[in-house]
Amino acid sequence: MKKKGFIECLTDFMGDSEGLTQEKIASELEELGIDTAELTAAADEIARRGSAARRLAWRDQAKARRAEIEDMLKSKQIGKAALDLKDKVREILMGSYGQGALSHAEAYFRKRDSFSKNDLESLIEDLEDLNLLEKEKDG
Amino acid sequence: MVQDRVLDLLESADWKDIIFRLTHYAFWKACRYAWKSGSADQLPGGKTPQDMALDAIEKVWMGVREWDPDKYPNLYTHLKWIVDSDIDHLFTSKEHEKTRRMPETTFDRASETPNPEEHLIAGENKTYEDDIRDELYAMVEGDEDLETLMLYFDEGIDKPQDLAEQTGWDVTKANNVKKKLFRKAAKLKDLIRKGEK
Repeated sequence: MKKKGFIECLTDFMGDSEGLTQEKIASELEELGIDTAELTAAADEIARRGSAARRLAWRDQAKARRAEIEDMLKSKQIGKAALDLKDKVREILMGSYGQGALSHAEAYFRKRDSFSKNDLESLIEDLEDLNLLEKEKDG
Repeated sequence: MVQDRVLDLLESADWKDIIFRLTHYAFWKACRYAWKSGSADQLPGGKTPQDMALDAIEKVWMGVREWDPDKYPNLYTHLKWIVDSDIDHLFTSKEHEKTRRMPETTFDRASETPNPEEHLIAGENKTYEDDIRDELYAMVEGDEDLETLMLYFDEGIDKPQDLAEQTGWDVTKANNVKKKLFRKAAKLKDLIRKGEK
């Protein structure tokens, strides 16, 4: 491995803020002539805009995936006894389930062309379990 | 509603702490290069180290430099990589084409033969580094800890853990020595800025 030079060591050492408090770093920045209040406000503004953009993108993505699954559901053969369950699956998918549940449903419908009552019951169980898991993970 | 996991992690991050540390990091990263402006806080395109830090944060938020928390759990480390890459990119940009680079990146290529221009730049850089080193040694003279630190920098060692291992200092002591060097930082920054001119 190439040996680091003196300046590289010096600047890496000085730039490493581990072990330094936020106050200490802030005073370092102030000494450099950086307005820390302005800096914080700028970072907060980026986070605010970024959060809004990501939420919108997430909603659009979820909406598109739900529509895709809905189309798939329409194109599959569902046994007579399972027709009620088809509505239940649709209801679940139009609700507030997360990406994990949507991915699971999508994969499930892609794999086969027809569904019995048992198949849909098992899918509903899986979706509910996944939803619970995702909620637990989110605290 | 269950949300995108990355969004959750980004929303719960301590952005005040991150922007302070990242700007501090960007400043010292920029000090490694000799800029046309003569100053690490005036980068090409009118950028500053704080702009580099804010740009990195924006890139992660907007998905331009997507963060994968499963692969790289530490968000701050991911942001530092973006700053590194962006500053390197600025340095090699057209706007900054005629410049000098710090010696460590041009002098250690023992196996390669530099062309005359590289040789000239390397010579200038060597002088520059020697000047900074001499002045730094003079600045810390009489302080045994800081003198030791300089010797280890000469050996290419700068990580607090490695320093602790080599010197027998515990990590707390290594961090205290860092604080001591920070107290000399104003003078140090002037020195580096002067060296860049």
